[in-house]
Amino acid sequence: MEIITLTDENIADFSAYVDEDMQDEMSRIFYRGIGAIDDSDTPVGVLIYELKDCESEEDTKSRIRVFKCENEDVKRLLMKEYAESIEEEEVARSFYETEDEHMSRDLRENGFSLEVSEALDVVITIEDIKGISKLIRVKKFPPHIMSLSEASVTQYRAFVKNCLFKGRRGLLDDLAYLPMNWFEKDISSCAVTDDKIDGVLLVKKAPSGMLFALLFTAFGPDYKTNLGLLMAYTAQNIIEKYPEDTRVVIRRHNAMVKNLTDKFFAQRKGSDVFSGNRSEA
Amino acid sequence: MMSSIMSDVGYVTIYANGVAIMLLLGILVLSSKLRLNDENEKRIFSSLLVIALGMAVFYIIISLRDEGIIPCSHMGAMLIESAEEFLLIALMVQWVIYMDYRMYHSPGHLKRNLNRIIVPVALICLCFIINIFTGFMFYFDENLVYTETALYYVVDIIRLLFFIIPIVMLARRKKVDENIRFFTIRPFFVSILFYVGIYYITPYSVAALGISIGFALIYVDVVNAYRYQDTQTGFFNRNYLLYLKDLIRDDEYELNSAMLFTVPGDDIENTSKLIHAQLPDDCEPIRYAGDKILTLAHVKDRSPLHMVSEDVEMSLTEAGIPVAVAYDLRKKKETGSDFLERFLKKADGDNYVNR
Repeated sequence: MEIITLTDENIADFSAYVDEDMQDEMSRIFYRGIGAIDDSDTPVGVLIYELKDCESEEDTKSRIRVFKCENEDVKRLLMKEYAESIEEEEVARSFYETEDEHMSRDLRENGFSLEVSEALDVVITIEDIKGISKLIRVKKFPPHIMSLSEASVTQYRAFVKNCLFKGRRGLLDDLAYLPMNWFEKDISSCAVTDDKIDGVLLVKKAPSGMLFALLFTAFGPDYKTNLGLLMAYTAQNIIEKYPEDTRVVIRRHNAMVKNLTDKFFAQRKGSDVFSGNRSEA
Repeated sequence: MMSSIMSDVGYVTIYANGVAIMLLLGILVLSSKLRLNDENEKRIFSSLLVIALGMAVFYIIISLRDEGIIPCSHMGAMLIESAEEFLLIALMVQWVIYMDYRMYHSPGHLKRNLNRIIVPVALICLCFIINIFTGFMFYFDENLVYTETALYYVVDIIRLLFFIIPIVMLARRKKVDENIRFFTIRPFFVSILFYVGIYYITPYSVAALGISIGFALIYVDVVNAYRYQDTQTGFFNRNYLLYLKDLIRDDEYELNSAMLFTVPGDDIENTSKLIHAQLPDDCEPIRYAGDKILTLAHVKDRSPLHMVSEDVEMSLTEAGIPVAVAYDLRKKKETGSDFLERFLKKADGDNYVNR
């Protein structure tokens, strides 16, 4: 058996363990993957994790996204390799959140805590989004609200700098490294004042067709108004451009997003997930 | 001579407004010599002064009319009084413009703000135009004695709100926006005290004096902020760094990172423009030395510092200007003051070119 480093070039070989959305994530700068292959080069296990806070002076954390293996030997080998890898990255704490009971059990056996709670992710439908459009009726959007496709790369880069300097990155630890066309430009929206972007709702379309709302922020004097307009603009575009069975994922990673989803999607709750963590000190 | 042909009210009003005119002219001349980063702000402020000057002149004309020194027909009296009201409306709108621009420096936001107030302003103007022919807000009787109706006070309160609301917004904004820390609120209370207090309670038309004193205090604030400005680059100067050091020491400024750009000292004006164009809004660049630009920030991650560094390097390299960039983050257990001291010690060294 052999351990190999997973990259966005060989991840497709592990499709039995890693779905297409997670395969797509492997191209991101803070994602790491370890794969196990047997003597005949057949994949027998995989562990994918995402580094968090690794570019600041805060403690680096690791979120385990996928941990699947054929047998106990593979499990042991992957966890050993993981421990060595995160020691090099100076990770202080590992954590996970998953619907996969096997994964949670395997991690529990390796020193992780375990609890069952509601997932931070909520999945909403086109029908739910049509409900927002009724709440935030906008007959005509002001000219400063537009889709991301109408903004330039220079404007986008300047916005990213501003955003990062204000400490706003949403779910995107790697916002500084993501090109503008990584997002779904036709439905992602931005507010532009004095030729500068000062508000966005950035949405990513995964290979499976799921939409992920990843950054929703605005600053400047009209930020409150712009937030409402951006939400209405993106909602309208999703309704117009996507089929009825489209799902949108919103991760309630902070109180503001939670309040927003409670207000507009009160009927939607997160599924039950297993979560836990382990100190790596 | 004048006191024998004028009442005390007329005498006080004319002298007070004369003082206002002198004060406003003085501020106009002095502020024209200031070299501010944003010339738009200077133009808007100058417009305020000019309108206030016009008001003071009209108060004198009105006072001379009231004292019978200037003969005037009934329509003439209505027109003079209406002109003064329109000047007050102009001052009100220019005041909103000035406060908005001073707080946000955003022409785009200013345009949207003006679109919001255009309807109430137009209605008020319409009221005063109609009043010239109907006298439903104020009128003159056959002896040219001026009388205000209840509706005039309603409109006046609305106008007062246009003056007060931006001040309330400024007070709220100062809590969250460091960029306007030198924009004090104190001057405005002086003006409001004069306008509401003396103008309404006494017969003296000294609103223009109150406004001119308020503008003089605003000018003093601008000059105070100006002493922190490096005249060549428009960046902050070392005095500002000393000011920030005190804030950092007292934990009123959370310092987490710093950047240093070392460039040739010649043509620093153009170089500084290129650097400024690549800096995020929250950066406050300080001209630390003849050839060194320092910027302190709250950001805790390397990637934004790296982005800025890349963009500045690319921009200056394209212009054929050599640049060395360095940045660092405050360590976890380091205080802001210790980090700044460490960073500046390296910055003062000749060979600080590493990241």
